[in-house]
Amino acid sequence: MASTLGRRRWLQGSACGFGALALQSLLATPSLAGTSTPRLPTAKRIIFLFMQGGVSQVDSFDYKPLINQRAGEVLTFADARQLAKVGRNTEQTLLPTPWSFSQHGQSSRWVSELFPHMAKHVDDLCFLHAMHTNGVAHGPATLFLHCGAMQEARPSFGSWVLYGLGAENQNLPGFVSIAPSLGNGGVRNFGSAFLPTNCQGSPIGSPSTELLEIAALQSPFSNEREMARRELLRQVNQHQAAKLGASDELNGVLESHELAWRMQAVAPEVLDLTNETAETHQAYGLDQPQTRSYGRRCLLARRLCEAGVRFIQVNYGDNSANPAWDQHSNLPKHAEHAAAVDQPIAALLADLKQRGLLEDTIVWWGSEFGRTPYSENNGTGRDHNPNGFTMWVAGGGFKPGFAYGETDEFGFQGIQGRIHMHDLHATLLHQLGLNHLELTYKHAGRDFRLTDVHGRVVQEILP
Amino acid sequence: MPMQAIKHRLFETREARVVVASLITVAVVCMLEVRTFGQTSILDQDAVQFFEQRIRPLLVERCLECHSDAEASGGLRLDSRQGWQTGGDSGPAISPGDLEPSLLWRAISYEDPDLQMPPSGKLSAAEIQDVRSWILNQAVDPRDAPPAMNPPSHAALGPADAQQHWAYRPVNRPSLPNKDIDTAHPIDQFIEHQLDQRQLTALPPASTQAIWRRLHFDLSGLPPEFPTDLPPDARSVEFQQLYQSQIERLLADETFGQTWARHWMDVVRYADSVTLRGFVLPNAWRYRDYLIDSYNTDKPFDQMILEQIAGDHLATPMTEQLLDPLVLQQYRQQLVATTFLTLGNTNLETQDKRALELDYIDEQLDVIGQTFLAQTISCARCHDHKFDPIPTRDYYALAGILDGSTGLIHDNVSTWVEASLPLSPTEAKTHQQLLENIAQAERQLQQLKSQLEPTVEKQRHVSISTVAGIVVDDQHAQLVGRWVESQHTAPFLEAGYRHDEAQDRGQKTATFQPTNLTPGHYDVRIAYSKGDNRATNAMVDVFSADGQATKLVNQRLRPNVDGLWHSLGRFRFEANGQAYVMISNQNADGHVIIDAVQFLPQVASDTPPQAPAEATLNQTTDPANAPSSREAELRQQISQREGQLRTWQRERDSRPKFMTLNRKPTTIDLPIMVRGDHKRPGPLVPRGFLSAKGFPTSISFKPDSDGRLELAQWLTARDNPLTARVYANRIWSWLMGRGLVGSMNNFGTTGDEPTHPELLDWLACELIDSGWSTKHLVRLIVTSNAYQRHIANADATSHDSLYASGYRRRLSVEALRDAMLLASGELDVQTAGSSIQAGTVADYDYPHQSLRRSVYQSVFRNSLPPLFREFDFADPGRSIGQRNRSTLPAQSLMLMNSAWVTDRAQATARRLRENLKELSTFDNSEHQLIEWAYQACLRRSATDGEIQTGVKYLTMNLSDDPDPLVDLVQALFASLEFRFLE
Repeated sequence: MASTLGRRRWLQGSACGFGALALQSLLATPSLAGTSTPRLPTAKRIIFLFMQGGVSQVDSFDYKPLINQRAGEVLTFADARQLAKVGRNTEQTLLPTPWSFSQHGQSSRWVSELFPHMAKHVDDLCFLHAMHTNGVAHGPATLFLHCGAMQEARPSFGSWVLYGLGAENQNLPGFVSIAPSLGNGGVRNFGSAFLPTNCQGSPIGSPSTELLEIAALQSPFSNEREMARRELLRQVNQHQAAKLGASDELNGVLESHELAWRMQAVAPEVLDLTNETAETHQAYGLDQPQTRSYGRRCLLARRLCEAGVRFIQVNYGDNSANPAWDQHSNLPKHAEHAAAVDQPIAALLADLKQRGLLEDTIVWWGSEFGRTPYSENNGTGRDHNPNGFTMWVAGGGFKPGFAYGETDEFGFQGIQGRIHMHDLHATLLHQLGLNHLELTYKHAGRDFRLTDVHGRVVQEILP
Repeated sequence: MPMQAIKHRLFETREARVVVASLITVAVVCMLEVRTFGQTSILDQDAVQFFEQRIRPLLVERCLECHSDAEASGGLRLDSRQGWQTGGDSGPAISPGDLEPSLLWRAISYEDPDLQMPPSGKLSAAEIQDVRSWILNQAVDPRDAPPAMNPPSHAALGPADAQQHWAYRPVNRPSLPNKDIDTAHPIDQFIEHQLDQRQLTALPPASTQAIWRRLHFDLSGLPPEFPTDLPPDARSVEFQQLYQSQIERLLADETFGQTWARHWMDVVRYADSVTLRGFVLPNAWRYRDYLIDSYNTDKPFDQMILEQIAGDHLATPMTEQLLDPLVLQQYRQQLVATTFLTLGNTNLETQDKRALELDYIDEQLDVIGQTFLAQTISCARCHDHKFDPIPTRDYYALAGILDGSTGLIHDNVSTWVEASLPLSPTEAKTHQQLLENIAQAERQLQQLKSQLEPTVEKQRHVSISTVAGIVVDDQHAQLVGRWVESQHTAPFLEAGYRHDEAQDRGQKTATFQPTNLTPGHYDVRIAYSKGDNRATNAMVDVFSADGQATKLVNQRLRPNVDGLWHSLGRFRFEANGQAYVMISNQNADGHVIIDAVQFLPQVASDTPPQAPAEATLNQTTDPANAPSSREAELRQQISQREGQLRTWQRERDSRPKFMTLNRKPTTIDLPIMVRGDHKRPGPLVPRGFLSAKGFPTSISFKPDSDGRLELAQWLTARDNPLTARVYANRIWSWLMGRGLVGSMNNFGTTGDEPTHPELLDWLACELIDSGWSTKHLVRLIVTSNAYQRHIANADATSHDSLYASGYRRRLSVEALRDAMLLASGELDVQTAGSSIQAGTVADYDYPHQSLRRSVYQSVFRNSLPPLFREFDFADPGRSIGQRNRSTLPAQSLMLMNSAWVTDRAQATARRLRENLKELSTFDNSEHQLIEWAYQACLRRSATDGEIQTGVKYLTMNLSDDPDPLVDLVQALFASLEFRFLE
């Protein structure tokens, strides 16, 4: 008990975004390890490629020829939105996929022509075909994806990771969300809620711009002036410190100034993509208008990953209520989004692999939910589907070239090997060496977990 | 949720089965009894063997990982016979001898997509066959539950035993510790009593300058004036007199309310927007202003509770009473106070609207519980509170009270309730006249327009170029299925219209997507040519920022605008959001016509009106259609009246509104909801309050009352053990840096124990006996020695909580910001009123430009004002009892590099340079500037060393352009002394 408290205090008191809690000390702390056997983590960090709005599984990775063979047929489905609204199943018309599928890699995975570049990497990917989650609308489901809860203010996944592991790099934030959407939960998706504030994610950039910046990181002054300003602040504080007396807290403030200056020195370098070769720029698609924006984000993700950032979320979305992939109508628009992300993601995978980073980095791809195999109101698009959809994970000790779970013949509901979002959260934490049952934080009189009272480590996707 | 729906169905099946079972119980009663007593002794040994060989290994291998011990998944344990007999949330898992009602069977058979076990994959066919045989053969199971496992592992405090915990015991005025110093302040008596017991000595008072600064920031949120000539000895009579009178001055100043309302706003999760979609709550600020007024007038806190919980239920004054402005003001205030209940960060999008309402109530209960009682009531939503004496029954008893009203108006995206503030009798009369004028003008306009209509219909076709707004013609629609062109029935837009041949129902759609639609509100209209063979139910879906709205249009009727357009209503469209109209022939009972869709911008009430669309309608290129003089005259009249009407409508709409709740027509008791799921109702619970021993029992419901007023009375009842303690503890923490009970929002068994229980009770009694006066408690605390104590050199001593030393506190972000604005001379002192820029509908990337005091800055959940996020502002999504205290490099970056802080530093430097110009002599100008900078920022003179450092910097001859004085000011803003209270 005492050591638990001690450790919590320590975590709360230290800048967990910067003061690193070495993994060794975590493993050496018996309280957190609790009853289960301490295990060595297989991954040190996560890159989450968030496809905001809901990628259609039946048009991408979950091949269901039957929806084309039986296109236009009216069938009864347990449509999640209609169920929530009217409490019963409704009749829906199957909508064929406009894209053709083919098999790829030694693992012979089916991939549609939407993702020709990612298709080349299927042997590194572990597909989860029967994901299911909570929430039918974007807001609730997006929050659920990020925080494991829809309604209450809960810490986001990345902040739990930072809380549990501390940061690797003392000169950079340990949790970064690149170009986060302000919609559908907004800041709560990278917030720390009741966890220590220093566990919260630092946003870099926004969905509407190619710029990738940290607020107030850059000083507008010349180097000489900047050095003079720092020295001035040091001296001003020195005069006061004599008067105020010694104190850990005041020292902490002085240290934070020094840290900020180090960050000012290090972070711009990490954020500066011009240091990369022309080939790299080309590989990530920075030379093409279509792929430039997401390519820059993916390239930055790799640089942050190398610099030791724990949790890097690379968002593809926007601030609207019907974000990016949300094709209720005009399904062919999926192709635009696919074209924007496909090459950059493939380049990221290749790059990580080539640098040996894929071994201890988890790359996680997906949306807050999938889409229905039937059309919405006989239109040209698909509605939300939280009952069965595809995500994939790569690296970080997941089985490569593997597919787990299965949806029904139309790709609507998971029928086998279903993984709930809580389960995936538990499994991702597991790979980072964190037991989701024991990664708790006491708040409002009880211990909170990312997985609430749920979650199961999906051993089937681990070697 | 399909899973819940299905489980619910199963649940019902089981209930039905129980009834049936009870009818046949008589026949099998002997057998059942045998089963209940020592089962193993007389069980069929073959059956036991079957269990041991086939079933037990299977359970161990595939089920027990999740379905054992107290945390068993879904509450179901399969590690003993009693486990599956009792079952989990969904009831018993096995019905011996009967497959169909056995949930376990349903789960392992994998036929129900929402109930499939084990989740990792279906059992083998042989295993399934074994389980089948086992169940059919009466599910013989020799495993008895180990007795130790039966009681719940978390020993919660029961309602009857509540008073084992200090917080539920009555508040009695403790006698003062019998100290020999008869003049000692009561607070100091309690504190020094404890210090004496531990043989500790309190530190002497801080410097008078330090005490002065504390007092000013604590009571006004602003630094003291410079110069302040204070006697050096804090214990001297001169200083204490000066101090006393300054306390009264500060308590009487309106800055007190501005500072103390903000404390309360943390607790009640005040915000001006909701996170989802960034909807702005345009009238939340009235509640903020209510709080500021209430703190300034020292409104009794029990009255504030009453108004915040049930202001809308308090008596309505008679019309003639409202002639008295004071009565009117009080009436308005009590109504606005209830906005408290509506400020949750609601997920308006939730599709299951009953679930949304219950989440809304849950949020209200959570905030009420933490705010007034420091109880985590919402823990009891799904199960009895695991630690505190709050059974689930109590939760639903309270929820039933709140369910008597709702703050939601349902739609795809639900919205919040706003009502008009009451008017004085004179204003009401004017307003009534206004409403009558509007009604009359509308009637007249309709009549005038009806005289015009035939002329429009005479037209054969109307050109799009003559029509207002954005129009998408059928020839530009995205068509699915065959649509046949026609010009048979006029009028129509452009070349003609299309119809669906009344064939292939449900397979044809036409999507009209406008280009370059700027965000805003639009009247969306469709054009069709009417006819007797048309559909009476053409399905039209409008996809807007608020989701999808389905409208059925009767195309046999004449379109209601000019015989050409049919208005579908007013819709909101966002940048990059969905914006289109889809017409389908699903279920149509006649020909479906598509001609055009018009998006007519709706004029915001604060911009001048556009020319009405109707006026341009007839200006076609066809000279044969030139308007007659009679028609021109009519149009002029219409235009005139419409202008007048708009003015009146704007006047009507500008009537002040406030956020509130709508009373539901009936008040009912709620059932317990199993695991918080409203689709799984349990027994009804009569509305009521917390039932634990120690809470007031004397409050009873008036007939027909939903109970909310009674809830407020119960909260403020003298014998409620928590309300006064909780609030007294807050006041203490707002002045002393932390509470006597450290967990401000949790006085339950998992919260902290009070460090000074008697002092806490004494303060609670002082609060009640002073008529719940906040200012009385403030006065008491700031006059104590404990408040004025010197801060020990090394903070973090083990005697921290005993108040032997002062406690180093930081400036809140509000004070930090205000102090910078005060130094720069830019502080805008406007009090009261909204600071939201006109026309703001979403809070994303909001440009916070207001220079008013921090309390008036809009608390936008997606974009807080500059500095707020970095400097530990309270999360506006939930009740905050104690803010975080973080030290981050991001804070340094903000202070040193952010545009906002740099701007303030520049304004300060400019101001000081201006002052210099007014001096006749320019000798030692650097000295003077530095001295002034210290006075402006730290409200004290600079020391010699500081002057030296400053002069050195100012004369460094830096190459860059900006005045080095800016750097000095900014360094002072970032300095320790600026950020901490000494």
